[in-house]
Amino acid sequence: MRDRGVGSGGAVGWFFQRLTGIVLAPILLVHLFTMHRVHEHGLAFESVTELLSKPYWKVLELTFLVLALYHALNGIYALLQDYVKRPGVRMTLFSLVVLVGLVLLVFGMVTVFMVAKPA
Amino acid sequence: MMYRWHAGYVAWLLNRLTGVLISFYLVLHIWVMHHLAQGEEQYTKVMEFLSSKLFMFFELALMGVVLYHVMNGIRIVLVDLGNAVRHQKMVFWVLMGIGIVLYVICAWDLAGAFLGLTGHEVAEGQAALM
Repeated sequence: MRDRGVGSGGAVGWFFQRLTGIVLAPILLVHLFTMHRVHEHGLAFESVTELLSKPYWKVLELTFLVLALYHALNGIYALLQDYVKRPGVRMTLFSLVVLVGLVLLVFGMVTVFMVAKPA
Repeated sequence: MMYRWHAGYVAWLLNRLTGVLISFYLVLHIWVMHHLAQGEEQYTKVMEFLSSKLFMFFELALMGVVLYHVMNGIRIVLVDLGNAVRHQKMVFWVLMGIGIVLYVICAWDLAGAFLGLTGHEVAEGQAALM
């Protein structure tokens, strides 16, 4: 049988792009609405910190972060596939993008974990 | 890579464009928000910088970009994972209509907040609405 190569041919990425999109939409809604409620004249440090010290909110923000980064990276990968034909160049570019994504993930996670309500 | 211009093509192209723009924003947002972990002074400084009127236009534009991407995304999901392909054009324009309504509501509120017109009576710490 001819070698079918590796991977799903894009099926997994295709599906998860839609799935993460579906989950991201209500999370975005909640995020924006809550930030609106916390807002006074510019998101005051105390209000935001108070909210972000609650464990359930940390979980929500982390979920948001992970899903958003997946959705973004997957989208960029599709974009690269369309415009960068040479696999070597494409994978190098994508590796850089993934690297940036990982840095962002770490930054985001550190922020979310480190915020604690001042004593 | 180009194709004949028609509504579906433009919708797809805009989705790609808004997606890239949102990705850039995400980088900025995570960078800005990490100041929360650096203490009140750092965070407040950054927030004051971002409260200037110039950023109102930036945020209004962002709101439009995000709303388009979400609404078009809903169309894509309805078509790909559902049965809406037969009424795709109508679905698209209905969602755009909803998006415009949402945009007007959000933009009104956003502009009001930036220009100091709306007074949010939310007391500090009352964010525990959930």
